[in-house]
Amino acid sequence: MSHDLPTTTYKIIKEKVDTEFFRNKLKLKSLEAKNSLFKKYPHVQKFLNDNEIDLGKIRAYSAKAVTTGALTGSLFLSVPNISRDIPIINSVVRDISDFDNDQSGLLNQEKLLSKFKELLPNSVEPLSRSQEKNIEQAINEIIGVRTKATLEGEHLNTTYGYIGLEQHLMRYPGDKVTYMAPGRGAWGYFATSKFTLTSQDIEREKWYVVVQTLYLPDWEKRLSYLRDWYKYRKVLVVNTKNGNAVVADIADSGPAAWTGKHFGGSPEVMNSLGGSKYTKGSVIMFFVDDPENKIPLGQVDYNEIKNLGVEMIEA
Amino acid sequence: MTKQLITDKYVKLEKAERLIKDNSSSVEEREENWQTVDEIVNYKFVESVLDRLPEEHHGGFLEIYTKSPNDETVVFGFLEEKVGKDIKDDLKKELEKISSEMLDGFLSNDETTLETQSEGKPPVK
Repeated sequence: MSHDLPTTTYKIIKEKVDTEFFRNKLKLKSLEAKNSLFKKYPHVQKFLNDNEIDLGKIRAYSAKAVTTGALTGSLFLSVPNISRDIPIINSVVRDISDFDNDQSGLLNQEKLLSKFKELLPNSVEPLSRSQEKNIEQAINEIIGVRTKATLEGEHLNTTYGYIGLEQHLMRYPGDKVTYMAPGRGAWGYFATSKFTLTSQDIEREKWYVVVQTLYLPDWEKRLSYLRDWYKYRKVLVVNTKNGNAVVADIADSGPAAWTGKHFGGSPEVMNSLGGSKYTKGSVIMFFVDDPENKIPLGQVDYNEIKNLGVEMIEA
Repeated sequence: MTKQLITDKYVKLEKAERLIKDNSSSVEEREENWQTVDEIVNYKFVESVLDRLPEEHHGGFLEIYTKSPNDETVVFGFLEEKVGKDIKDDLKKELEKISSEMLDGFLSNDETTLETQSEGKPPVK
């Protein structure tokens, strides 16, 4: 053991120097870009100073605008309006009749896809509360996993977005597999060592997803509570193109908003959602309401043919 | 709600994302690096716009962009009106250039490694 220490220390210092170098170089690029802009256009600097705007943090202004828009939208929806209510009632009536009639011949996955077609907007964008409620209902009925877009008052930045392929996470110090991220996940290692690694830890890494906790509007304000709340929180991820579903757990933060993606999935999650070549696609992600921790992580096969209450008697 | 900017759609920064993941010693550092990339893209994007926009409209653009940085219709609508229809394509090209410039000076060997790693099926545990 005594021989290991200097090497380990050296390795850590070397890694730190490398990451510091990278961080500083990136900062320098930012400073150069800022200086170039303000040198060429000093009136821009004045405008931004006068209005107390930091161009580098413009994403925060975007979030405010989107949140205000959504809030206005939901308030607007809550106002009784006959013309707006009628299609909703029609839709509910049609839903019931659909289930009563000839959908039984379809595979559950096909039923869910036809629901998605009906309920999801054309473009991938945050859903309204009423859209989320309808999809929750469809998922609960068809997949049979109890899910919620808002659970215990918490809600993701978006429940409909693009998921991208992530690397494996390091489960314990020294863990080595191919296609593994060099750092730990947002909640650290899954176990302190290889010897304390449990089957639960293995499953958690295997079926992990990444969500943009860093962009939650109150993330910094409620950090200690939210960090615990999101740690290994179970979610149901459904590929909106083929209906494949996975129960996964949140184990890292990201991806960066500028990637255009909203979630990330482990190789296993992505493989289950869309096969070995699936690296990006649109998904629904809802929290799994599982207070007793009974629902296992992993792919959800919900296509089994149910006998619809008719008991089969062996002749 | 998701904090998307109009630039997100046109910058291609997958390699930068991988580079950041591989070169951040903690989650905090990784998120700080993501923020720095955001800063670079925005400074460069605004400079590119102002380079093409007559000075009398600079204030108007800044007003619109800082209020609705996610609203492509509003921002590009304003620019098309003041500069012309080609501005959107022109700026898209500029954003692609920003994407490639982002990696300039960063461990040129890494780019090859990243491309090699991204090929083929990712192994599962």
